[in-house]
Amino acid sequence: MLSRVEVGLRPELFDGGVDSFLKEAETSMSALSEVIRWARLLDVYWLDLPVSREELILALTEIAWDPVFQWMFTGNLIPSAAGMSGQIEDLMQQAPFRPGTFWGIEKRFRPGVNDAVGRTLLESFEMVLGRSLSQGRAASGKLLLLEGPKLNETILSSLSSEFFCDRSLETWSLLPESSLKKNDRFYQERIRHDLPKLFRKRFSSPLFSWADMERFLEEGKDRFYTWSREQVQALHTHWMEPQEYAYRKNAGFAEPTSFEFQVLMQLGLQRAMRLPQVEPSLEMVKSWVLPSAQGFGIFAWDEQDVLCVSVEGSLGCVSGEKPAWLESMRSVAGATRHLLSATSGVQPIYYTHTLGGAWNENRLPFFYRALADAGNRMGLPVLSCQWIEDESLSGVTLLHTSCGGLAPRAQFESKSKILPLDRIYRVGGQESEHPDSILQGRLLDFVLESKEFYHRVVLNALGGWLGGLASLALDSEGASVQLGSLRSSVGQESLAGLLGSPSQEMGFFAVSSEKIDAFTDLAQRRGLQVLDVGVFNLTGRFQVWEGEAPIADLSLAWLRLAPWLNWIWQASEMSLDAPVQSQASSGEVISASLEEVVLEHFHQDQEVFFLQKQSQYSGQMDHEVQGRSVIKPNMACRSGVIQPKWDSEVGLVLGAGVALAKSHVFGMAQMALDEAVRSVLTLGAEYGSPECVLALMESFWISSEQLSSDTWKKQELFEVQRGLKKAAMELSLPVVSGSFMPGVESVWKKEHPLVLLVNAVGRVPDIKYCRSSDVKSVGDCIYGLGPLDFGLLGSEFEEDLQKVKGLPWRLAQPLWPLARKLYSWMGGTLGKQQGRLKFARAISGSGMLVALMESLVGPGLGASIWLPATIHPWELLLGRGFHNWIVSVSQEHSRFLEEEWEALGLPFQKYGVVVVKGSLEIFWKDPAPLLTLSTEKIPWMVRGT
Amino acid sequence: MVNALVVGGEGLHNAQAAAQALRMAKFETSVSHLNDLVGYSLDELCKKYGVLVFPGGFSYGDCLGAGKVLALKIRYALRWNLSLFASRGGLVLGIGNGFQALVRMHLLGADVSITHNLQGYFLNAWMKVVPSGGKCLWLKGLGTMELPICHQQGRLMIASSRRAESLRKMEEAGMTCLKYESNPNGSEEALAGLCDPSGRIFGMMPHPELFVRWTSHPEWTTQMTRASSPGQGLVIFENAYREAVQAL
Repeated sequence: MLSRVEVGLRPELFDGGVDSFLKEAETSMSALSEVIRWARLLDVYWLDLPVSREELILALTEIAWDPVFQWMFTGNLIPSAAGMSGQIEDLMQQAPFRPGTFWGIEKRFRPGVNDAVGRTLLESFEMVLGRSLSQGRAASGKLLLLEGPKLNETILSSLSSEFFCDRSLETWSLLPESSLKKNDRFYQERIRHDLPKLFRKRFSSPLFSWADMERFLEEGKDRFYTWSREQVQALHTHWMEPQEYAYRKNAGFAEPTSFEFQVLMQLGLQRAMRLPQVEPSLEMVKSWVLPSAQGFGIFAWDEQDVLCVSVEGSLGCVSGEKPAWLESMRSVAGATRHLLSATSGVQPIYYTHTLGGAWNENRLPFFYRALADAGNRMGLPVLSCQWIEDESLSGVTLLHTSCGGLAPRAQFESKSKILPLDRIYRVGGQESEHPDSILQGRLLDFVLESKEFYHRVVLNALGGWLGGLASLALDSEGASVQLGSLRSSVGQESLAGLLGSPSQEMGFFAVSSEKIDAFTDLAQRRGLQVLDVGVFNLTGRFQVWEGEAPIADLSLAWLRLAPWLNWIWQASEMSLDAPVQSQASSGEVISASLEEVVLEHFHQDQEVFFLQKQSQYSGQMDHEVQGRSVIKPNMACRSGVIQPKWDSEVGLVLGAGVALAKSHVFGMAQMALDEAVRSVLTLGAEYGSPECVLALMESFWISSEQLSSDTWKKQELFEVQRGLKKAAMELSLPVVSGSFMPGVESVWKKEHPLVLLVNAVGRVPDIKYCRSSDVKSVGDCIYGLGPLDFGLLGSEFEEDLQKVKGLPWRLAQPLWPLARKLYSWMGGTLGKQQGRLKFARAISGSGMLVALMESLVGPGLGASIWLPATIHPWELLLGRGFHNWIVSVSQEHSRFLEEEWEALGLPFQKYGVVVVKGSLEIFWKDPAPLLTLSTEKIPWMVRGT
Repeated sequence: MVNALVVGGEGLHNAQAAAQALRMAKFETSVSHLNDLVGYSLDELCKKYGVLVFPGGFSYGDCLGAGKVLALKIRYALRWNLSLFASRGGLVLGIGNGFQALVRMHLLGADVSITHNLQGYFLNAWMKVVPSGGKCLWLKGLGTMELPICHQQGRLMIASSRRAESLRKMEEAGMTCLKYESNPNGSEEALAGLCDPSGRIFGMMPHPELFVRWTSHPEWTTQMTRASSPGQGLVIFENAYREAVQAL
């Protein structure tokens, strides 16, 4: 039976959802409030079900309608579910302006897009009616009902295409009032027409002869992404090698097939270019660092468990048009899959994020919110969220998510291998590149639940079938895949189209032959499709058949070697990090005031302040899963602590340092690493003895096009790695290296600097002694801890300060012997008095002033700060340095700290005191303050709330 | 010894946190996937468990309304008569998403439902809540507590055509057992939780299972001496344990 259903709030109720949507749209379409007088948002469902009319009425009443607060319009199916006549006119007649001028904008998913609501609706019908409805179809959409005499198609089209619809996922249509009242959208033929048709992308078929290399290169250009001529030559060489050529000819291959190219492409994307990594040196080797795959760190956490951290996670570069919620969900799901694939079922326990974008494009708050929502749906807390804003990032949003978790040691001590005769199973939902959080959750839960039944799993997204199968095959001694059964089971017209489709909800498992029944039974009980697609063997090859026809036959040894992915790097004698001369001495006249520069940097609107709520500074990013949270990341400190095991007081802390390597890349890399280390020491991580668990993860964004063509960029990358290694060696910390993201140039056209991400993960011996980064009490003494060395080069204020005359321009220099001692003190292995600290805040690239501001705003307190006369105040307040903190201690305990710092030779400076009023006053030389900022009115961009 | 069952799976992410809270309150606790409980009869449930918990999360992606599909699953697939379970001495708790399901099953008021927050967006905050009425066994003897809320659909509503009468009856029956001190989401009468007339089936939007340790509170570092103390949410589970033991 065909049916259309529209459900919305009862007319007497305020529609907060549509109100919130229109307010957001008004930020760009300011005239909207003048033309829209009334609005309502309705859910729309299309149904084609093998049920009787009575069953449909019963089920719809149970599933789709809540009479307490909803009206439901069903044509003439259930007229009592709304108003007088049961038609949408009842709703229109309740609008405040009558007779009114009405329009509707209806949107639905494009064919092929995952419709989680539609699928859930079908499942709900099956629950209520108690039987399978496998031949049924259900689809969902929305109808935005608007009233206003000035509304016209132009306004509505803008509203639809720019706000109401995600154009990559949805289509929309306008319904004038006459059409709304006519109700023909409820007619059976119309419903049949409106239900989405199945659609698959088709492969472009091979058009060229392999023998003609030049033509091959030219016509295949679009497929090869960033592959160079030499790389394609490597493929050619292999396939023309006599033994391989003869074998393939015998196996029925005239030339390489498009499927084989697809495999190579997917493997190339997944296994990114082998770039210089931070190779461990003796100082960095620790007993608690266990062997792991590239891009992962595995550390012994305690006697029972290991900590697995993924470095690469999900790296994305998103064009301006892509919706934040979609890309965020992809990022979060991708990072989770990445961890589960490589570690065969470790239990994820946190996410970290890094965002990058241009500040004036205001996209980051939407991503911030969308990431929190995505983490909420996946059920994991966010431990760290950093962002970086720069003009060079205009037009794109950089998005990095990584994930970590704990697993029993035994799981790693006896790593399982794929065995011959293991079966290959595909498990998941429909092929779609758009994530469905329900199926994501089911699949990821299943991966953990079914651990004892399989030897390996690959959870593939972009790679689709071929990428996923090939990745699995690489870990075996041979694999044979039969896709012939696929056509009948999923009803596809084009197998090529199916195989080429990326999918977010699909995994490939190497299942032990004795455990197949248990595996498939569990998959079905978890609501997942399961399909046997092949077997592992000892052939040494990855072979794919469609029925009797072979479509791929590749040497696994050659795929593992992947010579076409090799880059050759040569060390250069050139150092990019020449020392910068100081350009001015202190005491000269400065043409702009400190306050002007600060307020401009924080994008103050002269007429309206963006008032910041306390909750943004004390509020948390994690949502549903706060039970494990100890210190939550927030504005003041974008690092966090969780309690990973219920029965242990040991905490896991994660922090980050980000650097935009525009210049002085060697120094900037060291700064990023230093900041990451300090971010975790701030919250209580241990440091200073060989058993202390503290490790670093590094990855970066750079356009591969730039990298392939620009020698300078390659050298910069090399220098970054050198800087990281230098800092890591000095601090005796292991570094796990990630890879860069290929294909960035497809969306990121501008020249841009290398963006370096460094995460630090550490262990807090006892969570009861964690520190947070907010000032605590009036009367507390505020100190600076660390060397008094800050430079304006590398500061976040650097560009704003360019126009100010007479400033000194320096790059601060590290003092690694001092750092080791200072970090040992913060890390609890040197001295005894660190427990008296009431708060600590690492000073990062935004400088001491921002550190103070952010630490005061949450508790709503103020501070009076006296800067030493011997240092330039702008350098001290806005500059960037190494090894520094702002800390506080109660007045009665301050002498204990000062005595210990002096005894240990740790540099410190007493700056001032916490005061009750909500303003920050900075004094330098004069009795009158150099700067006064109200902590209530700090002009900070609203971020994500 | 009292056994507690936490229903998990299908996006009920807080199952483990709820289980931990129950263990801290001395229950013997197990967590079972929703789909694995199909076919588990009410008799078996009553025989084995004294407490049943539907935890928070994002079941079925909140499609069709938060808690809606979970409610359908309980009613049509599990076929559990929770009122009967309670009448046989059992205790039922719905938290967050679990509460939304209980509301949609009309166990906590025939004319009550739950929908989007008035503001139209997700709320993540710590709120003071006040027990009221004295009927709910889970809240017996408790005063004002501060607990986290995290929801987009937490606004309780009463059918407008019968609002006054329905509210009066619910208040007389002691069902309006938990209120916000300051209404964050437009909920009718600032209601944060409801119980059934027996007081044994209770549901709430705030999450007590996420505050069983003092170190979960966002401002705990301002009171370091309390770091080893339990969080205010634990007392709800401890209350349940005392009641369950008495019912044995």
